[in-house]
Amino acid sequence: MLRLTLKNLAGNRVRFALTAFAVVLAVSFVVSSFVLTDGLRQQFDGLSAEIVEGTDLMVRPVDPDFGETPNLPDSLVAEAAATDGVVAAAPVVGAPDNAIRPIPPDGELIGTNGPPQIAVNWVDDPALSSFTLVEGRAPTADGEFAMDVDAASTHGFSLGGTYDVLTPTGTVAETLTGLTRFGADNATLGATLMQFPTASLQRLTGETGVDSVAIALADGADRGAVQAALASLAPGTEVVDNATLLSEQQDGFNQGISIMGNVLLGFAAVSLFVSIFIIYNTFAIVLSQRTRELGLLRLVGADPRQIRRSVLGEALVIGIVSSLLGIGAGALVAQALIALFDALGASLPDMALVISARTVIVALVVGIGATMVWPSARPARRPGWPPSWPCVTVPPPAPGPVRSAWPSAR
Amino acid sequence: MSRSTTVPAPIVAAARASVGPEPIAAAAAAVGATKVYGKGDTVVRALDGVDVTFDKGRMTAIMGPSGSGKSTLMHCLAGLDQLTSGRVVIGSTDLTQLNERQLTQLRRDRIGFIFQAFNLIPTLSAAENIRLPMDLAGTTPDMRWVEHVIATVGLGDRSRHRPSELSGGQQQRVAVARALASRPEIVFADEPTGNLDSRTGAEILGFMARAVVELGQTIVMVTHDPVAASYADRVVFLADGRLRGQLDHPTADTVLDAMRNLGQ
Repeated sequence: MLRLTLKNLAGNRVRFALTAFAVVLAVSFVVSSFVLTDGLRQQFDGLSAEIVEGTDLMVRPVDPDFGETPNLPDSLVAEAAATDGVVAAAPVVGAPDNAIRPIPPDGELIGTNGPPQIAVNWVDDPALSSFTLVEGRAPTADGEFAMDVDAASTHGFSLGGTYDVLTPTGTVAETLTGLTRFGADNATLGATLMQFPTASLQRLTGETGVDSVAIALADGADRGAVQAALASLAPGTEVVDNATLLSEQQDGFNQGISIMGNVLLGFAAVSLFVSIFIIYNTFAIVLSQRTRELGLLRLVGADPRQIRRSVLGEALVIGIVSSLLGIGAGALVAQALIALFDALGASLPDMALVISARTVIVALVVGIGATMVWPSARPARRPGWPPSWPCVTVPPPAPGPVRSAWPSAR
Repeated sequence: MSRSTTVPAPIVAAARASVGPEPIAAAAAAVGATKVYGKGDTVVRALDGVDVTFDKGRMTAIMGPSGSGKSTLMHCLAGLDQLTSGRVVIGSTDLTQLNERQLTQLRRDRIGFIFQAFNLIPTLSAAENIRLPMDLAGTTPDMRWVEHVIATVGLGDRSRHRPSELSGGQQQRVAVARALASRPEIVFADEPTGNLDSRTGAEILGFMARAVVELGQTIVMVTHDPVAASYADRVVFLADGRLRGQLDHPTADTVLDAMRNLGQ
């Protein structure tokens, strides 16, 4: 009977290819959404790690219940640096995303719908800075700024050039003094990262004070004691450690990734729904075409259970094969989506295709489930199915009543 | 295929003689077999109290005009259809006492079928089709016997081919081989040559006759063709659901005569 199942599959390749195609389609959507979100999550986790790397502690204002988070006074940086156990303290100042927009040489502004344009203060201390100078020198005076090396080359900014920059306080001329690298390999995901001298950035944004203070601990310092000492420096502040910063950073990214993943899963659900209908119809057609064949099997002694098992077996094989194909196709779709992101300007360097065990399991459950729904829910389970022998015999010369009254044709 | 495959009457007679003096037992029988379709004014009595026995190790032809009930009789004998009243016996088993599952097993283990057409599963090779009933039963085929059967029907080198790669006559030979391969107690053939030209039909009938003589097979064949009936050892005639006579050692001419008499 197993042989018959497999032979039937092999003998009706085209017929089953249609079913398999529907399943592959649905599974590949599911898989691609998982692969993509897993990959992005991995990517952004790496990004998060690079952002918070080197910062052992962070002094920041406590979020008030109402209104904007207040800035911390500039003087806090020096006070924090003077605290026992602190080896370095650096101010953290950032402009809101896309608040500061350099105008490229071609005059065409960088769009704000894609990866953001982010301006932060330049920090000299390499332990506390996410940036490393690649070429030129650090921006030190008003009218000077640095930019990450990939954004500079993408948008046509060249070292030493002077460019108009749109800021909340008006358009200013700024000279590009340095090209920098973010983290280990400038994995900016397409963002434009700019660094300005701290005072200069404060002036450009029209804000006073610092957003927070990044702290590097001395070797062997008592983290808890330092944390308490820093917290007592100014009212309304909290001191968080690296692990907290990392998880907050990751959560922030993950929310966005989850939204995108859910949109893709929505597509997957729709295609799955459509696939189930295609499968349903294909099996219905196939089985009615095979009524004679199944009747013949009944005649030569297959009991209904054997025939049901054979039909279910066919569905199972299709489900397994097309699920596996769907996993492969899903990985390709994910890769295509990554290429699409690239084309839209978000660079996802070295983004790995993450095919987790969960992805494979979900793909198999979805694929096999979708294929088995119909044959297991409908005729293969119905009593009296498959049809019995009458369909096999050629209509006898005897007229109507003989045929119409034959039993077990239910 | 040469005419040598048809069996001359003397050989049949000799084969019979070798069985011995004891009376030939019945392989199947119908007792008071009645089958009624419909109700009230539209009632049709397809079988109307048929008493008939089919001898073991012989080929019996059931003949009759259209609507005579010959196919109904065969279907009831094979457990494919149920009688309204009366009994049908295969060997010592009363089919009217069996449920659907038992009937399925009976068909699988004790009965072989040959039909006019569509006897084979298209995706299986000829050899696989022949072994199918035994595969379904989960029994190991007696390969020497199966090969003997394949050789007997002259299939040999074509046993690995799919039905679509075989001619109509070859397909029917596969069907005959399948019906014989599991050594069923009885083989039912429903117009086995109805779809074949007369030469190919003669070959198939020759194989069936050989199976009776050489393999001791019991065959019950429904046909409306006097030539096909002449290959049988005995012909029973049905008309209007009733048994109207029988003929031993028929020839095409004697069968034709009997049919003419029936018509009067």
